Amino acid sequence: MSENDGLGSLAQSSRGSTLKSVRLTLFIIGGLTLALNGFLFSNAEKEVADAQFAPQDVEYVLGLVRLIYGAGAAVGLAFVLCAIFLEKFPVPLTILSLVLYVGATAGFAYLDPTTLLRGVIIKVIIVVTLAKGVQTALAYERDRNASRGSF
Amino acid sequence: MAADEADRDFRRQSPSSSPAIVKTVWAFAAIALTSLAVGIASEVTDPNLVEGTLEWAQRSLILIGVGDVAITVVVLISSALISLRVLWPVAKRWKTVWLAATPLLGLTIGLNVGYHFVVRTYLNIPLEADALFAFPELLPWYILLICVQPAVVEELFFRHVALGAALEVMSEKPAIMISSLLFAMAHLGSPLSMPYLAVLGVVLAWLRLKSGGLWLPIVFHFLHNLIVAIVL
Repeated sequence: MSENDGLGSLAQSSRGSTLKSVRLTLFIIGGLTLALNGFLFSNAEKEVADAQFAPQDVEYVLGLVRLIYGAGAAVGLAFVLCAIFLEKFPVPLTILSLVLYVGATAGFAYLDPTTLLRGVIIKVIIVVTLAKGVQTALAYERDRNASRGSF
Repeated sequence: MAADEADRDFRRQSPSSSPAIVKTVWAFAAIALTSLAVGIASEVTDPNLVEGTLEWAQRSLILIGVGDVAITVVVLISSALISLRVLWPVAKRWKTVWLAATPLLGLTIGLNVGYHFVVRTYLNIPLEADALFAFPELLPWYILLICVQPAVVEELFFRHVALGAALEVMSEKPAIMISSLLFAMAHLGSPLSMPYLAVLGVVLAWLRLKSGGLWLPIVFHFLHNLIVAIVL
């Protein structure tokens, strides 16, 4: 094994640890999103009853609220699935996670614009981590393919 | 020492600028923010305007127009800034694909009507005719803003920039999925339609790849929007 091969594998292991931190981030975001929206979904009936809508609107509002929380839970589940399969398909899944996070943030901001500013620093950190994750995944896969080709 | 060298090696091998796909996600975020700003602006209602009147329809079209112009500017700037190095697959049977697009358009419209019927039934939303259509003098503007602009600008961004950027780093199927997801999520104003729009995005991306150009998806998208505007 040449010195360059050794350094290359060190760089690859460094990328591997960056991908692990992306994976952990996805597990945390996904787990929290899934748990929170799952709870809100199961609590939707009580929430709508407490808000005291006109009787003819209750059914419509309840359907809409369940749809919103259900979609939120589905996005959380998608993050968890991305985390589980990240090692197998690093490039598509890091990109998918970034797209989903930016899209979900924009979607919730459309429903309530103040959500854009809530926890803005954490949102920026997550987006930067995911964007770095995409670049790392690209370099990781390029090296993995190159090492497969050299055997 | 070896770790330092490995770190330098890692940095040397890392791309100095963001890959096209990451820039595409930033461009998508800019488009979403523009839609959000236009959406917030349209919430500000004039108390003197009564829904269904000509003045109300004109104001609605002006707001849609402002949104369309802003999104067109963002898309054109992003398209100029994102340089693609994608090798588009060669279209082999493009005439067959153009022919197949006709029944596919019928199927897509059918799926649209069916999907929205189910959602409206579940949520108990009554089907109402688009009030903007009540004024024939505004029809050319309506067609320009609802049918022509989205067909051209959205195809340029989602089926050229986004699909191309995704194809640079992954195979066809996941690239189609990513570009379709972006397309669906860009329609923030119609969140209930997003699942259907993701399917439409897959169809449009498939047409773009199999026909070898943007013309077929543009024509398909235009006819889709026009028929949906008339039918729904």
